[in-house]
Amino acid sequence: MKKVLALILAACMILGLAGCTQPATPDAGTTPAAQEDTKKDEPAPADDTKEAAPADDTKEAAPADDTKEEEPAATSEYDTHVTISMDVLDAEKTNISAKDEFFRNKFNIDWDLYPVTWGDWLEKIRAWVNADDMPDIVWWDMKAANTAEFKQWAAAGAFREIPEDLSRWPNLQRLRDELVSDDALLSVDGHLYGWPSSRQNPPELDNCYYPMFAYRRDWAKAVGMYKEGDVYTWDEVKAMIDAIKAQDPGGNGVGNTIGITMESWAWEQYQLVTINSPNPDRLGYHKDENGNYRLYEATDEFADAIEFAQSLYQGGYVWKDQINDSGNDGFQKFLAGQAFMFLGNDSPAWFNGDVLNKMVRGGIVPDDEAVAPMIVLSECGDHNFYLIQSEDYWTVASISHNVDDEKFERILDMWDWLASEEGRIFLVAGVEGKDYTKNADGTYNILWEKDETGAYISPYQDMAFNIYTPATLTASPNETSVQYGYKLFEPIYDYMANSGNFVSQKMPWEVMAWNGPEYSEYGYFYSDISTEISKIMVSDVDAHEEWAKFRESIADKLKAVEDELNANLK
Amino acid sequence: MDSSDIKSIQNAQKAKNRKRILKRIWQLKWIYLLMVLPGLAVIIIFRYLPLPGIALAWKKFTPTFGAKGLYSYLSSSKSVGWKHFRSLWREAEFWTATKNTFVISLLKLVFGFPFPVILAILINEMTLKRYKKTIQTIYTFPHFLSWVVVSGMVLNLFGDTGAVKSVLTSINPNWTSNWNFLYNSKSFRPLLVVSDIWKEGGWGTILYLAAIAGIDPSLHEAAIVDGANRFQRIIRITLPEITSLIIIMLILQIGNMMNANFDQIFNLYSPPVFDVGDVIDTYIYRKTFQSSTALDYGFSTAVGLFKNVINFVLLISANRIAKIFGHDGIM
Repeated sequence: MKKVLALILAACMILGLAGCTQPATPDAGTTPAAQEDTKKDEPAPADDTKEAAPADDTKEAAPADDTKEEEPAATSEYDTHVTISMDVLDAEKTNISAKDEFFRNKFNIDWDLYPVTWGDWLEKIRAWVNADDMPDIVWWDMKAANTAEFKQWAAAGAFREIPEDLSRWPNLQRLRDELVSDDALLSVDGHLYGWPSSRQNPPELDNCYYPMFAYRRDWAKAVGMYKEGDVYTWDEVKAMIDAIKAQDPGGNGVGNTIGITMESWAWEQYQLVTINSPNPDRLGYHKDENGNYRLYEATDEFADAIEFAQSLYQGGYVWKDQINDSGNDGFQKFLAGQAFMFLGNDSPAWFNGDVLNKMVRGGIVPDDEAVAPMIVLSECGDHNFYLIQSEDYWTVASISHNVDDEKFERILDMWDWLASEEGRIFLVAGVEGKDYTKNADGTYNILWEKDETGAYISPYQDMAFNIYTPATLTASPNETSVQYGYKLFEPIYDYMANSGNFVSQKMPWEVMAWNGPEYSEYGYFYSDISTEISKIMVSDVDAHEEWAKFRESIADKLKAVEDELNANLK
Repeated sequence: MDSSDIKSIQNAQKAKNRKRILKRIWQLKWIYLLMVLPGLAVIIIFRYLPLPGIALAWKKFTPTFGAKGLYSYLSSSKSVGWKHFRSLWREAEFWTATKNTFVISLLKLVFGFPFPVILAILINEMTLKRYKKTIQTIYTFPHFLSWVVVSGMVLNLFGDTGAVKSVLTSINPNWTSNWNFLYNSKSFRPLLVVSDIWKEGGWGTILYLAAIAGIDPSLHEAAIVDGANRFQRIIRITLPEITSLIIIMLILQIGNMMNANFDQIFNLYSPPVFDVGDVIDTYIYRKTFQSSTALDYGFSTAVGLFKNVINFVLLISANRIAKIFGHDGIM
């Protein structure tokens, strides 16, 4: 018997080993997709500045029921069925709704999803591409700083070229005409190898990114320190946190309320330092008064901002365990009413999503006025409000060199449709006949249920981060009347436009696009700088002294990069 | 008898021989050797097949696309000579990581290595069988938790909003006015050693308990007759009888000193404790996957090669020393 068992065991082990070999395509259903995701560097779908057709609220809205209604089936103009593989966030929530089914039928496709999380996204993309084992659509959170790596892959033949002549795909052509990044960052020798998902930012944002604070306005009112317009200095913020800790309007227990929490990426990207940095140019390499490229992070001014951020941490205003938060504990603390302020991608879309759905509808806050975006003026320099210009896209998608012509054209057809007005309506409202009906005058009847405030409740989740994202980010969902976040931002935009105190730190495209050997190797020392800032903030050391030591430690490498930039770009 | 008859007799003989060999294999329990095959396959696939990749330590990694062949990247990657090693020598972080690896491994060796031996002896001395099994289960259980879970427990216990601080604050708020336990260079290494002992100490006892169980009971019976007490029997019988195993385990641990437990450290460390907690494995990981610039497998391979060469030297040295002192060693 023992011998038989040994034989069976050996056979099982050998079969198990065979099972470890790579399948033709990974099965999303069996991969550990259900990992906790955190929203990192979330894109901010832009405000739609155009007048949208008002929804006809007077008509009786039919309940949206995924299971009972007969789904409007899309007919496909494609005879051949293709399976397209792509990496996605939240894979377990993707490709399961009636809307997804409509899309699959329309383009006669199936999805083969490669799950990624915010934490392992870049690592997986790097491993897949370098091993030539990538999905058909390689979708990643590529930053300008990753340009050298992207170009290395593209030049080596990793991706198919996006055709120069996009006349067959007019909506993609329109986006190409609007974007800067496609030519600046994603082309090699004039050939485009990556498709940037346009942010479609409103003009007043000046292509800036939203690393700003949300705060408990109700607590500020409770301690008598609320200011109309939600614009504060750091002295006022510190006084508010002290008062809230002492008076405990949130009922956390005296002294237990946390002052500031943030997204884990906001700590990693030292946002607390950058929002207090007075440099009018973008952080990173900029031209000094002599026209020479210098790394701003290597200046004394930047050390001032570090020192201030350190004082916030050491003073107990910032959550002490923020440094160890690799997930979204910071947001969870804010969500649970344990923290007064939250630093992250607190855009109108974020308020519409997380705050409206979880805090307001979840009953965590008393009303929809209780949480609001806030401006905190820089402590250093001229006490302005700084936002940093970002890439004009969020995420880049490339098509694998292994993809054949038919699949390639199908992907571009899909993207072109998603970038059309019809596609936009699909993204924000869903499927005609199921989620909305069209009136003769061009307006829409949304068929979703409404909450007690009269706002529509979307049956779809996480629309911004899925298989549809690579084509383009969507403009605001005016048709569905989710106006909560946009209304909250009206005073913020007004301040940015009219106060004269708003400074957008510009994106130096020429440096970002540079691909020289020294810059490619060291970049702007982001990882080293991030590590050093964390060390300084958490330790009770002299920030200027420590920063000077750090600058000394990278001096040779930094000089090599600066020399390269000055020799080639000056 | 014609040639066809001879052939058929020969074939029958061959079949008989084959049957006999199979029968002999079955009878002699050689069948159990089949169980080695999967392990062997794993070692060949994951340990030997990647070995040519070591050449990347002297190359600048360039990916290839569409090329066939397991090692096609080697031909596409240009040689850079000893560049990666020269870069390595210049990197202060690398030397910090090397020093930390040695120090942390040494601390674990000094404090962690004796723990399972002592615990195994103590468990063996327990007379109540049920109590003994319960204790053994309690000590062994943490081994089955991943370091992600254990580090979460550590963070929840010792973090700013953790249980330990809450209790201490309730006693005296002054004690916790500048609470910095997890991000303090002084407390980080002890935290690593203690949490490692807590998680793995019980699991380590299994081998020693098995060795103790194999000691001839007549030795103990004779010692009891001679009037030896429990402590004397432990010192004079149990310990000497398991010394060979202790030496083997010691050699293996010394030969593994450059692996300071990536999982544990990666899940517990943060930038403020890099100066005492960043080890070679975490350094390689950060340089390979968390760098903001293009990854360089060549540099990472050079660091990994350096680490493994040191491990190899340590293993051989420890084995030689064991032999000098009259023990068997592992080779």
